[in-house]
Amino acid sequence: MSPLVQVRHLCKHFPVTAGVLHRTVGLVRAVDDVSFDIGRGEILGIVGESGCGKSTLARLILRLIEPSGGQVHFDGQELGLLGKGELRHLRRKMQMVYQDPHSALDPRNTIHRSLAEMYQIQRVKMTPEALNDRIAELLVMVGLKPEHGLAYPHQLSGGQKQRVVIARALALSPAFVILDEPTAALDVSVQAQITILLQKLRQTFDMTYLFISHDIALVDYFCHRIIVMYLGRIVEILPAGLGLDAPRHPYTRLLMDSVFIADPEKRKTISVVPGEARNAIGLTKACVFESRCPYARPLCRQAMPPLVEDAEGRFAACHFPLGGNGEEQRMARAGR
Amino acid sequence: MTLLQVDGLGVRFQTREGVVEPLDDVSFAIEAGQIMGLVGETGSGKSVTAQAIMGLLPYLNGEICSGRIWLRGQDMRDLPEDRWRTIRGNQISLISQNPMTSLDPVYRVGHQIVEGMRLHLAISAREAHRRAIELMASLRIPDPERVFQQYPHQLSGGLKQRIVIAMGLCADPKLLIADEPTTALDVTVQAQIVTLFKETTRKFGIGLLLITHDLGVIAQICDTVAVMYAGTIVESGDVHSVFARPRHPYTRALLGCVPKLGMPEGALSAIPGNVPSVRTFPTGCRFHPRCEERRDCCQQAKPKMNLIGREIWVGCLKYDSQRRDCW
Amino acid sequence: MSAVDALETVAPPDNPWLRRLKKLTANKAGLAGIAIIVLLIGVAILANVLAPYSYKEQNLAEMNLAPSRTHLMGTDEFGRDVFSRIIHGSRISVYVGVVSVGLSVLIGVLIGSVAGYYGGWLDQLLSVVTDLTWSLPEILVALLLVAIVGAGLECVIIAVALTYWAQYARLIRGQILMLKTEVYVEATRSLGATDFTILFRHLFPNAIAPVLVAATIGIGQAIVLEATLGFLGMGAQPPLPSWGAMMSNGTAYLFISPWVIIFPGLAMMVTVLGFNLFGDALVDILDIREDTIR
Repeated sequence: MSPLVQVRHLCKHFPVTAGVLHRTVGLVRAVDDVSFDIGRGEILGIVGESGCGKSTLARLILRLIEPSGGQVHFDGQELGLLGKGELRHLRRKMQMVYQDPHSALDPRNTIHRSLAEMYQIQRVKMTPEALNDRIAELLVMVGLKPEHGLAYPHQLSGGQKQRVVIARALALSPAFVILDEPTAALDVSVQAQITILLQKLRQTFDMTYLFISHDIALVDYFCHRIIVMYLGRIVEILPAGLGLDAPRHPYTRLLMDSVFIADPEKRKTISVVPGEARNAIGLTKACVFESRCPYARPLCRQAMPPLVEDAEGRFAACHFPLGGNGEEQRMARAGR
Repeated sequence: MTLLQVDGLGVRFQTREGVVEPLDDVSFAIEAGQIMGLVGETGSGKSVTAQAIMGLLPYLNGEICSGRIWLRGQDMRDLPEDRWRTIRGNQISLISQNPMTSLDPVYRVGHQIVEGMRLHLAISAREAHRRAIELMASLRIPDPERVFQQYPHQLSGGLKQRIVIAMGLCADPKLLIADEPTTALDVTVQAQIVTLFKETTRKFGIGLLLITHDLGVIAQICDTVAVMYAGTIVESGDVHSVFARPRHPYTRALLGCVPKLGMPEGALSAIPGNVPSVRTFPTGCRFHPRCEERRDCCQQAKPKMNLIGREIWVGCLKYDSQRRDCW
Repeated sequence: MSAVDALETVAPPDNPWLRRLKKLTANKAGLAGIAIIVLLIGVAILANVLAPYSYKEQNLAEMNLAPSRTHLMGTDEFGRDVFSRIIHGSRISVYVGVVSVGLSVLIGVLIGSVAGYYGGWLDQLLSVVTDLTWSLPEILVALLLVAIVGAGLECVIIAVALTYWAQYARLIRGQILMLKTEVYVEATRSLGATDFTILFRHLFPNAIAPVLVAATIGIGQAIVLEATLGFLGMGAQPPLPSWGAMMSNGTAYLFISPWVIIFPGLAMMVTVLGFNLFGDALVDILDIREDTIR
């Protein structure tokens, strides 16, 4: 079966202007030449630090912002070629859950009204009784009570609000849901509740998820496959659950090494020498990770490596990938 | 002598809607050169604890209503404000969550460190400059002379946080309180800063009270840990013992909520319900509505801290020898 | 209980209007403001019933009488009862205040929300127009209008409508600029909601509160402007009893019959005070952050 979502060479560049005349002095490549597929029923994770373009990518896929280049195919249809009406109809099938539940709900609307609005905007004809029943059903589905419909957002806790946001995303029975850091703004104990709820809902309703997070341990737990992004580019695509030895790309390795495990017997040795993502401004040809890469070599400064598949079916955008044959290659070069 | 000892601390705030008590009977101690982690969720009272130790409560319409705080044997309760001014920054300093708002955007960062030094120490501008550069270098700030001359907006998040730490250390404090110092930072930068905290504490022989919600950070660098829930400490002690064998049901449940790399599917567990807010703290044991092991008596009886072994304190009725009747 | 089902308690239903009503009843100054406004509007509606004498019938036998039991506020130089004229004058004040501010709010909200919502060159153009208007003194516009079309109440109304809208436009533009980046607006848009839905269902209800406050206080200001023009003889024309015109006429007899000028002045002061008190109370009642007003 064909993939549900196909992303091809997707780009979003923002001009950087300076001076009184707003001359364009450079480009921020928020998303740069990104291609991947999301299979039906798959949970695909996107992990990266702030500024890596993961949230921009989510909005490009939903076509909330116009891409600078590339296409998104949803269920075989190219979103860029659809008319306004067709796109609106298709939006039922793709929904989003946001990071901050506090600002995701209109403070002046009751929960009931916020949920009912979904059906009004999509012009779903329903009797008021059917609508009430449906909203009660949705609230119970996400672990709330029908009475919560009467509440205003300020009366709910963060976790409860996030449940409402999830209910809203599910209202029109979508096939595809983007989860943009759905637990990042919540307390640890509530994060786990929401994570488990999202897993349960996906199984019940047979949905496809794109899960965006900065937490590689969470992505590794929640997803089937992980895309690692750095400064607008995909640097590696790897299957989840492989553990710490899995990374082929030095950046993935760095990310995994930076995660502290909640076990004092497994302390890590971390270099305290600073190194941070710079902004993706400029038109440099070098590998995006070159300036921070402990293994960088002259070739890395000359060309951005393409995302290529190795013999084991793993994708990494690195001239000298870690592990497997790449490791030997790298050692050989280093020893020369 | 114990560097900081907090004994039965209770805090009260006057608000428009009445009196609230976000802290109840909080006790712990920090030795010089040690790192204590204070871990808890929203409303657990970890930031209020820091404010109480810094003597900042009067500015927030709050007061200490019970208990004592000792800093190197000196009773800090009811200290007049002019004495506090010589203690804050000098003996205790606070590093707050957001490096972006802790620095004044209109001054060069070096100037801000120098100003902090000269406020507390009787040294010349030249001497302060020399010491600032030295301090920045010891915090692994690359090219400190150049960074000294830069403005906050020219620095990355990680460098800014290093400058904030330098300002916290500039007057040789004995105790450093860091309130969620890495929450606003990226994972890779967080790892560096956390490690830097450990290195700094050891190098300068100061005590560090590290406030965070991140159990991974606690496990990585702390010597002791206190777990807070709804204004009380539920468990405290040596970090290895607490993590290896969490005794309080909340500590155990909280550790189950954290995903780990390579965890099998279905291994994540959650605590039902929501974190109570200061106005809705339950009676008896404050964790009982969410506790899987609760019994009837947990609803009424407030647990006291019970000593287990040599250094683990647990606030649960299960470990109270006088409460064998209900447990 | 499974861990995913929240252990949820349901808060009692919250009725925002009831909550606001409670806040209002607790706000003494606001209540006083409302009382004054209700009184003013009541007087304006019932002017014919309440006024003991006609506002225009002259009685030269009773010129410049001091306040007494028959003439509570005395009489003016034509022997007209000041009390009755003030009562009738309230109609002019209420009419001018409400209609002119109503018009300017309409213009301001339209221009401000278009500028804020669509942004770009349209916003830049509209903002320049708004700033230009903002800098025009309303009295000058009014004088210009009088010069073109002649004196009359309509001049006052049009002058206010043409100048006051700028402040409402600025207020609503700022609010919409802030609100349109809210996640719930994006959530609605991601569902294919039209601009109309987004504007009317989410942006206006959340943006309108500061405008209501400004408009309430604006009515008081418009009433003063009407009086000012009336004082200069360019507002309502005789024998219409505009409070400003009454005071203007009274100046000639200031030392003989000061009540002719004192009572309309007091009426105006109390009216403006009423609108200001109510406007301030609205800030509290509608939960507006202080910084959005200025």
